[in-house]
This record gives sequence, structure tokens and C-alpha cells, in this order.
Amino acid sequence: MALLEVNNLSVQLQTKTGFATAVDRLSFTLDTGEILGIAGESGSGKTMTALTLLGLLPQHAKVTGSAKFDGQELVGRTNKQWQQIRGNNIAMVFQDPMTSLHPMLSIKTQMTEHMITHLGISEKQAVIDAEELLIDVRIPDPKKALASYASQFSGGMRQRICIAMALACKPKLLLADEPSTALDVTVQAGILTLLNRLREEHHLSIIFITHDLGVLSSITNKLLVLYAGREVESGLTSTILQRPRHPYTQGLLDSLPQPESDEKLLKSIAGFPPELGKQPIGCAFAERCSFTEARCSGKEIAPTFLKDDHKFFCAVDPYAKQDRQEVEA
Amino acid sequence: MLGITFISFSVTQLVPGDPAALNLGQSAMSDPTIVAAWRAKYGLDKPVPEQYIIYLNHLLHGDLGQSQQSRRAVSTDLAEYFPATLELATVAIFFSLIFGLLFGIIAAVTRNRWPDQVIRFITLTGVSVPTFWLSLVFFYVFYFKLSWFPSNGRLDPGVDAPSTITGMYTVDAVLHGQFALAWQALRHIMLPAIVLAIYTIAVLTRFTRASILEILNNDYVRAARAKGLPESLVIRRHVLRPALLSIVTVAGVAFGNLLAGSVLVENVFSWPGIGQYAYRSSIGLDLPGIMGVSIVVAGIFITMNLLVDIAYRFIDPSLRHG
Repeated sequence: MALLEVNNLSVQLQTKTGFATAVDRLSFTLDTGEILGIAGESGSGKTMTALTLLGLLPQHAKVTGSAKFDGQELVGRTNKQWQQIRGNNIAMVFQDPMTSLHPMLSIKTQMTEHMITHLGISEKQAVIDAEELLIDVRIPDPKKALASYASQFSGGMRQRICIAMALACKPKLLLADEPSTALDVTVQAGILTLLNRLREEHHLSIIFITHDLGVLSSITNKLLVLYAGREVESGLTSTILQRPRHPYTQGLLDSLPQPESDEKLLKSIAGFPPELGKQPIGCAFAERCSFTEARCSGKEIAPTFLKDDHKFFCAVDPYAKQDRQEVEA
Repeated sequence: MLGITFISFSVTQLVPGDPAALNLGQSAMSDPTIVAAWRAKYGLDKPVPEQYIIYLNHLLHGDLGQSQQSRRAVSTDLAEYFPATLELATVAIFFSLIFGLLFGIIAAVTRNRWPDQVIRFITLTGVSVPTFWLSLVFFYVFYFKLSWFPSNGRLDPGVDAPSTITGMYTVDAVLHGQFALAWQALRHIMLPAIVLAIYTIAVLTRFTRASILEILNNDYVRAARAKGLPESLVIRRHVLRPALLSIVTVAGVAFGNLLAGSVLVENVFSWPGIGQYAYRSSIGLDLPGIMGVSIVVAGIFITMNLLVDIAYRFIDPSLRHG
């Protein structure tokens, strides 16, 4: 049985003009020890998906569908029921370590408070465990670190502390929402290595959210590409990065810097994603796609299934021929 | 401080009116030698800049001059009037902080639901109702009609004040072991203190609510919730502490305002505080009196700022770690 089974999960947010769909009928599974990457531009529903799995959506958000974690249904939990899962079985690392640590509470308080709440251990024991966790994420002098405040650490160090904090109650699932985006490239690499090592040592499953396919390629097993709240393509990371079948995935790959290329400017995808709540019927990417035909709009796009759970939602499938040619060659 | 003395001094000089005319009787005014003698006695015959220099010189030696109204040293007057205001203001700020914070927190966590709506309506009324009107209504209802609280003044008529240690009757009575007297003094404070507190409660409630709602938007609050902490702990530990920073700033200013004396409330409740003293000095163009009050009020605000800064360090321990 998969650790996490998400089925037809939709999230609607309340806006001034009514409800807008932020996540549209998403389905995916995650096994123990796997790292699933969720990719997409800002506003594609990546973060909303993660917040749904922690019950941290804004008030009045409507969630439908199902998300089963370890056999337990997550959708429809009360706040009290969520509290037992949050930080305990499912933990989250946020994008900006500069703002997600409390500026006025000591690292000790922040590292130990949820251990005391969830594990029912004494403060003394929690401090001992916290020191071990800090050593585990390579924080020098953990005793001193515990007595310090967030402002005394650099961004990379803060993110390490956030990761240690997330792992404090030995969760089975870690949601990492762009954990390396706000950091320097060298620091970023260190964080990725750390997450990968922790995954092995702690038997963690990770959902790694980012817009940076380069980062995802180095760490994830499986990939889910979102656009305007909908899945456009999913499958094994290696397959998708080598042979993307959806024009949007291709666009994301093209916009990565190519060191060998002579072109000075990075490629970009023209246009903007549709506004929240204004996604069209049919393909949401059609407006920006260079392969758009009449059949792209007006009716729902049916998924195409390939081997190894590779799936994409494109009616035109412009890369199919090229794909076959490569296979023949 | 020097700036305050200069401004108060200049403004007092600019006000039309003759202190001599206000302080001497009609028949004395008609005799130029008496008027000249009176002016000479208070140094008013000298040029204004010289008067100011003389005043500053005296001030440096701790001499605030002599009141033309009470004919006593201004420092003696202030030592008598200020503790009354300090006592009243302390009780008022005590109520304000307790209820202001309580209502503010309730309103913030029940945002846009009925407890919030009720509190917002009441506090809006609280900041809008003029204090003088409220004083009269409270005086009429709770003293005159219901007799829940004793009459005007700091003690019942004919009762001797406890001998002075701090000048605050409740404190002095307790220090002397006169608990019945302390209780009486406390009952006398209640009504004016409540009237004074109502406005401050309303201001603090609204401010507490706003600053909690602002803090709730922070990433670190979401991170605290993501750790599965009970909501009460999130509010108490992660939200209230940063919110308190701005709340103590406002509370400090509010306390300063209360300490500077409320002319209206002190008059309605015949409370012999600094507000009444300031009022009487201004009416009598009693320059040393006015200057004395200005200096005390300036001192109060400087002290309050200092206290607020000290409070910051207690609320935010990371400040101590540089």
C-alpha cells in the first residue's frame, strides 16, 4: 500500500468574486522512501497541494476528493485531528527560512515544543534529542545553537534548523516547499544532499515542490508537472526530463540555462498563466502553446497513458512522432 | 527638557492677559505701587529673556518657583497633586491593560464572527463617546442613582488622610496597616478610574486586535501551526509576544496621557490631581505653576519612553543577544 494516495483532490479558494479552483482533480501516489517532485510556475497550485496535505489552507477553502495517508483519510479532518498529524506524521519545510523561524523565540523553544506536545517527552529529553538532530543536519556547536535566536544564523543554517525541526517527531512524510529556492546555489546543493541523506537514514518520503526542474532532476524519483492547478504530465523523473510529451513540460525544460548553448538569452514561455478561477475548459496551456489546434479547447483533455506510469494531458501530442523516430533510430 | 521649558515659557508669554490683574483684587489694581511691588516680587518687572534665564537658573537648583495662586512653592504643590494622579492613572492603566488585551485577543481569534463584531461595536463606541459626557453619566448613575460608589474626592468627607509616605492614599494606608482606610480610598478611585480606563481599553482593544491579525499573517505562525501545536499555544507563544511589542508602545503613550492628568475627569470627580492643578494654573496665568506642570509632564513622557524600551528587551530576548 502506498504511503500517500491522492485521488481527485480539488481545492477551491474563496475570492471576492466567489470560489476559484486552485487545485483541480489531482491524483498521485507516493511510496515509502520515494521523492516526488511537483513542478510548475507560481500559482500552479503546488503550494496549495502541500498546504492541503497539512490542513493549513486559508479559512473557507473547500476541499473535495480524497487524500489517504497511511490508510487514514486526510480530507475533512477537524483542527484537533489535524494537530495530531501535523509535525508528527507529516512535517513541512517552508520556502523562506528567513521568515519561517520565529525571531523572538530561542531555537531551543522552537525545536522542542512540538516534541513535547507530540511525543510526550520531558523538556530535558527533548533538548538532548534536539542536539542530536542539529548534529545530524551539520550544525556546529548544537548547545550554543539551541541557546541562540534565528537572527544569529545565515539562511542556509536556518534552513538546516528548519529541516531538523521538521524531522524532530520522526515524520513519515516531509513536504518541502521550495526549500532551496531562497538560498545561494552552493548552499542549495548542500540542502539537497542533506535531504537525500536524511531520506535514506530516516526512511522518509518527500514531496519536493519547486519551479526549478534542474533541482528536481537531481533529487526526485517521480515528477508531477502542474499548470493552473491541473496535472499536465507525470511519471518517472528520468523519463519526463528526457522525453517530455507535454509542450508545457518542454517549455519548462527549454527555459533552463544551457551552458553549451551559444544563445545569450534564456528561452521563456510567452504569455502568462490564466488567472485563478479563470481556467478554461480544455487545455489551460492552449493560449500559450505553439501547437494549439481547435481540439485543444471546448472539452476536457483526456490523459494519454504510456509505460512506467508516464501520463500526460495533451490532445495534440506534438512530440509523439519525434519520440517514435528516436525509438526507431 | 530644555526645549520644553523654552516652548512653555514662550507660549505662556504670548497669551494675552495680565497675571497681576488676575491675582490682585480690583482695589489693589488701582494702586500702581501695589501692582509694581507684586510684579517685582515675582520678577515680572524684568525683561522676558532675563526672566527665562532666572527661571532656568532656579530650575537647575531644583527650585520651580512659587505659585502665584497657592502662594506656596510649586514643588510642594506638585508633590501633593501628582501622587493623586499617579494613583488614579495606575489603577486606570491596570484595568486598561487587562481588559484591552483580553478583548483584543478574543476579537482577533474570533475574527468576523459574533464575539469580534460585538467587541468592535463596543470599542468603537468607547473611542467615540466624549469622556466629559461619560464622566457625568457615570457620576449620575453609579453615585447619585445607584450609590454603588462613594462620593467625590479621594476619601469620605471628614476622614483624615494617612500620613504621607508616597502621597498615594491606598499605598500609604496599607503601609500604615490601615486596611479599612485603604479600602475606602480604593473605592473612591474606582469610578474615575473606570471612566478614564474606558477610552484606553477601547484603544488598546482595537490596537491589540489589529496587531495580532497582522502577526497571524507571518510565515512563522504558519510554521508553528505546521508543527501541530495546539492553537492556544500558537497564539500565546508565537503570536502574542511579537504583538506585545507594538501594544506596549501604545500602552506607554496611553499611560503617559493618563499621568498627564485628565482635566475633565478630575474636575467632575473632584480629584485633586495634576490635571486640576494645571487647569487652575492656566486660568490664573500662574506662570510658575504652568511651567512646573509642563516639566512634570515632559518628564513623564521621557520616563514612559524609557520604560517602554526596557519592556522591549523583556518581550524580545533576541535583542539581548545582539
